[in-house]
Amino acid sequence: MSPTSRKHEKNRDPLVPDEVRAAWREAGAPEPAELVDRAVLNRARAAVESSTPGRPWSFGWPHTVTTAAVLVLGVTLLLQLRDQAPGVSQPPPPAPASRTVPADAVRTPPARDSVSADEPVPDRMLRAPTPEAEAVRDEIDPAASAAGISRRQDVIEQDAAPAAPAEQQPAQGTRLLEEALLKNEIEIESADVEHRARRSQSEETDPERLLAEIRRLLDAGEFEDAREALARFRLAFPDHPLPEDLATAFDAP
Amino acid sequence: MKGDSDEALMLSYAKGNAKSFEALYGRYRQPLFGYFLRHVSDEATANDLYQGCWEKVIAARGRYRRRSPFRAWLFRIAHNHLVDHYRRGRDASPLPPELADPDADNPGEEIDNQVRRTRFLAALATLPEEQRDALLLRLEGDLGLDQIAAVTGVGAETAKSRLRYATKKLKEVLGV
Repeated sequence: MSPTSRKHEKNRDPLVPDEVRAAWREAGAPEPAELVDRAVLNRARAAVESSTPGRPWSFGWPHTVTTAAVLVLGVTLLLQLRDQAPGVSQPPPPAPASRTVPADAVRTPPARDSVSADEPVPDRMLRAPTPEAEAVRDEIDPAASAAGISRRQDVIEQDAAPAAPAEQQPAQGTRLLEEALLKNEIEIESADVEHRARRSQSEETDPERLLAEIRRLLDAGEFEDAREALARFRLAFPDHPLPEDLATAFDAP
Repeated sequence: MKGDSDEALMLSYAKGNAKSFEALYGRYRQPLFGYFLRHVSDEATANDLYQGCWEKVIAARGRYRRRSPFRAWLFRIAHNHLVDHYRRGRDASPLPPELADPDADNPGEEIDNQVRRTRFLAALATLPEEQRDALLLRLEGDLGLDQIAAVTGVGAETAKSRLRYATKKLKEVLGV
């Protein structure tokens, strides 16, 4: 046997005769459409860009910090507004006597003395709380009422800012707070939905469980649901063969 | 990347390297499309099937394990995808006219390459699905007998006899 024929012998396909293989080669090598190539490659790129490394980063600590910041802001606003919120309860009107107390007699150091004298105090802080808010605070902390009287007296002396803006502010603040909390809630909710979707996807790790579900649906006569489950099965396990009993069931007219 | 094995490329893609997929795609673009086109004999359907198959590969990237050769894994997905296609519409695609009657335009003429090619494709298209599948998994997918058996879910002997019947019929049509 010559080396050439030995080589030919070695290259021979024991499963497909040479003549058939030659005819197959002559039939040419068809190629997919260019658009399809692009679509597949774009899909492949998009799949990895939207999942793997970027995702944990974007949903990692910045997301947590944002959530925490919104919560802290919300709680701070809530605490500040609690003093000013009208209609929390319906306390009796403030005693007229407090208005007659001479300012000098009751002017005790204010409760927020820890703030340095040089530090500019925001105008909003100096504004008088509403009587209702005072009453609520007195219920919580009677010791603070003296300071409260003093502050109220300051405001009387200043003939403080008109009532309307002071009333509008809490309403506006409350709305902002509600919006912030709602936004935060929506963010948390959507993150939760995504998390649940990811979890349910990862739960589909056992093909036998899905196959059992398909069988159960077929037995129950729920063919549409069974077909849907089959589609899910194919998506999750494209390389898994369909057992003969199921293949027969779906092939049957 | 050029010298990387298919399996390494697939695992690399699963970890997020899109370049690895491009390399892999280049390797299997033609054989996979050939597998579908030779099955359905219609380019539009073949393009649909081909794209759908790659989409399944992309979606299942996280489940690929090195222990199974990529080639066999890919063609198993292709086979399942095709079976689903056949199952959806038993009508399949009707044979294009030139394949339905390959000698119509050249009665009595000497069989040249073009006619020979057309005859081959016509004969391939008229083979029973299982036999055609076994043959195309061998010719386009370059799968071994055991792999063909595993992909199609039959024993090695069944796969072998399917191949034998398919090649016998093709040889008859080709007159060799």
